[in-house]
Amino acid sequence: MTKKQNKKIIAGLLIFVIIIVALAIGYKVLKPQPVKGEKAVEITVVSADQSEKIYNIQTDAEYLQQVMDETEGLTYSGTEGEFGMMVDAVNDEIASYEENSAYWAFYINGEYCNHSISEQPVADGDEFRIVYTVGE
Amino acid sequence: MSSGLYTQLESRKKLTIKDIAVLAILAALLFVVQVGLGFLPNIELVSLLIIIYTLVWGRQTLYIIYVFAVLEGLFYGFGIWWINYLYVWTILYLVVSILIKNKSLIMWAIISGSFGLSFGLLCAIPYTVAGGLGAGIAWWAAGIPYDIVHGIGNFLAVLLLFRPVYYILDKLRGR
Repeated sequence: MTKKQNKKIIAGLLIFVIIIVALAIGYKVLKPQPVKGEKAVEITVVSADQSEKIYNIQTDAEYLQQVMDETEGLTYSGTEGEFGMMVDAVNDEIASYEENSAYWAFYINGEYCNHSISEQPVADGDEFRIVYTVGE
Repeated sequence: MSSGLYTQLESRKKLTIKDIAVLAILAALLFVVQVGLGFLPNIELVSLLIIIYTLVWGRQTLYIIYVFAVLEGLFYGFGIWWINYLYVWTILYLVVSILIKNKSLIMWAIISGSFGLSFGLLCAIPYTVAGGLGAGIAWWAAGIPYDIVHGIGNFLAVLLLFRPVYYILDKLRGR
């Protein structure tokens, strides 16, 4: 292997490591931070028949999953997957992707949640919607 | 003749029945490997195989990539994620095609690792189009830890498996 090739490889390795470090820093900066303290949160569950059930919760929880655990009358279950828990059932209503491409979609203040429920931070006044959705 | 030039010339030939059968098997192999390792977060051998397919089968790799994409869609459903499969693997194919003369194992590891690191960014494009720049950045940022795992996993996969897999597939090509 020539000196020139060695230099190229070292430069390549260096760039690879720099990208990893930059990504780690980027994640630290960009990831939504949890908010401490008491919050008022609303969760609306929209069933397959479009009926809605609204829960208003006062909580100190920092992440959505903790809020859901604390919410009286709201039950859920799911399977842990690559990107956190995939919620399969809410209030005993099962959404089966295998059967009819159905899933439970999570929204925060009208926007689709980009985090799993265990990593979705909660802030005072947040409105969550958990919607039974049939994919195309 | 360099293997890169050989591959490019071979790729221009018309496909025979045998070629079609082999390409179908290679696409199926890609699919089986992806599904088989699907339970591991962002650890995959698809990138490794596409790099080697491109080196060995040249342009015909595009057939493999698109058959693989269709199989993935049929298996998992044709969601927004599926749009990613129509271009991300093609981008890897193009990068490898450009660098086809490279003979350094560690450079292929760096290329595959860098592809893994950028995977989330590349896949954020449809989400950016659908939900705007903010949604795209949020989607990409949420997956950064997985991209890092993906990049390191790809890097190691090439270091450990490139030579034996390349040897087998090159023999299969009958060169």
